[in-house]
Amino acid sequence: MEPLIIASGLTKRFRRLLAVNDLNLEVGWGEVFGFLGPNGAGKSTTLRMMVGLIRPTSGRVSLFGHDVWTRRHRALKNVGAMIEAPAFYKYLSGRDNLRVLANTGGDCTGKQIDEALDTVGLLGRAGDKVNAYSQGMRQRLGIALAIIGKPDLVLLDEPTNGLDPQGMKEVRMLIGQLASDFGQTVFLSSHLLYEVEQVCTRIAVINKGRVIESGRVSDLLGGSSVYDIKVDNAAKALGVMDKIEWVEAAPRPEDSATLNVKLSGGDSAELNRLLVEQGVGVSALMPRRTSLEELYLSLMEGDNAAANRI
Amino acid sequence: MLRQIGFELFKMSRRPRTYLGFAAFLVINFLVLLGVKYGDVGQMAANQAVGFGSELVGRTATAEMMAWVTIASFASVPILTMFMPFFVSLIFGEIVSGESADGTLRTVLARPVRRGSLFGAKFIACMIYVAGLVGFVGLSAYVMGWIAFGRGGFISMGTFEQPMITYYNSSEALYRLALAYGLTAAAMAAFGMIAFFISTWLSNSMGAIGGAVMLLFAMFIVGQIPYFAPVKNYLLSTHLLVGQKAFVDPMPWREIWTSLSYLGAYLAGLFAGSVLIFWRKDILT
Repeated sequence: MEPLIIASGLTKRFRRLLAVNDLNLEVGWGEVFGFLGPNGAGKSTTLRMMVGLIRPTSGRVSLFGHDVWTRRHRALKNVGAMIEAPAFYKYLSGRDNLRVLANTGGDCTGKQIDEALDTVGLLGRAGDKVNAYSQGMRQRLGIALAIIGKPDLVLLDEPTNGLDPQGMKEVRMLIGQLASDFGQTVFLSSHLLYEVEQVCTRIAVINKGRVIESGRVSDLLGGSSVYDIKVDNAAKALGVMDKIEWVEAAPRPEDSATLNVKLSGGDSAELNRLLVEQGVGVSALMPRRTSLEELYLSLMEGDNAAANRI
Repeated sequence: MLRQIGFELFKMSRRPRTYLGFAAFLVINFLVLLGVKYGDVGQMAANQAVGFGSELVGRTATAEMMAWVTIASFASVPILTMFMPFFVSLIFGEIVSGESADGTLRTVLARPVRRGSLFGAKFIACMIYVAGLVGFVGLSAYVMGWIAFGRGGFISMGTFEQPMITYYNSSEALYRLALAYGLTAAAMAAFGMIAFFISTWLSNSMGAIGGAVMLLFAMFIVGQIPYFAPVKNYLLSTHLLVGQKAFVDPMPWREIWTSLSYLGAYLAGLFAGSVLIFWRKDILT
């Protein structure tokens, strides 16, 4: 099946500033795709090009196989989007805003509007003018507009901005639900790494307008080849592991009873068996995952250092 | 498209500024009514038309005359060259740039709507507004006049440029009034397109509103300078008071059609320019 989002050679130049530079991206059906990058990296410009708010200088974006700029209506027919801080007509109620906006180029019933409002917890305040809404409530209304009518593709740009911790958690759960319960594809742009790590199946990291890394989250975070092992006798354990070819071990400076172990073959169960057979008591064997934050920071550091060398 | 026009009108109807023009003209019409009833505006117009020393006898004020005075004579300068362009530009100048400035244009255009369709809906909503406003001015003047004086035709003193005394019976008066208000609506629509054009270009509604009004005044001034006489016909300000020509006898159809052609050219040219800008516009706000 053809990917749902295809960006190829996407470039946007604002006079001297190259905001997005030859960006290539594919997002498949049913994915929760994280789009990461620091402020000014080109995330929002890319999203704006994805919904036809900005015309690419070169390259193209297609959604559902339709070019966004030339076949806009078809490309966006099944897309819900929240681009940057949601903006609404302040002199209209939340419900009237959704009625006007969701029916702009689309078809939406009152029931669907109420369902969306209920999902984001705004049904009770739907009759109030948006002028009286807090930032968090406007954010929720923006999410309601994006998910109304259950579109196949939901584009969310920093959806948890301005939300309290409870609200952030609810949005994370909602994003997970969209994919798992309704099979919707979610494209999530964010700089909240924890949020992305929690909900996304695949990510792309963008810096200075270019994608510098992309792939499945589990692959990028290194799987489970690195372990922390807690033993009763660290010196003896190191001696045992020194003789095993596929193990590299080193004591942790801050905790002498815990060893850092990297496996390049075999598995953790085998290592555990060998240690116990040699009389080493193993009280804990924990796989260590590189956090997305560590990965992201190392990517940024590497990319910025490379740019400085050039 | 029809639904989109409905949404534009719905949004317009929920904004207090939409009603400013209607309220202002209700007050102005009431003041004109007082002037006609107690200030002998009819005699003032006669003095202007045939010179001082003339005297109008008998009943001169009717509903038709009140509506005529509003559009053509006493109130024409302040209403048509100051107030109405201001209120028209308030709506036309805000409709794209206002949404661009507060970010709602981004929200709308992230929906599966064709830019041309959205733009067309905004344009038509503006045209409906201007027709509604001009129609309201005429109708309210007529109804107020009816209540105060009853019906009965009017004695026209022509226009400022062509003073003349002519009597129109009630049915002809109504026909000429309707034509005058129709022509005024066309003139205001053409002027509004200046604000609309600037509005698609800028992300600042004050710039569009102020820019359009300033441009109109600049055209008025240029039109008064003899050096620029060869270009006077090309200035929008020259044709803004085309509605007054409906009270000249015989009807100067040639002049009316000429004015309408210029207004049409302004309207079409500015609309085409606006479409082009809007079509290519990057939404960055």
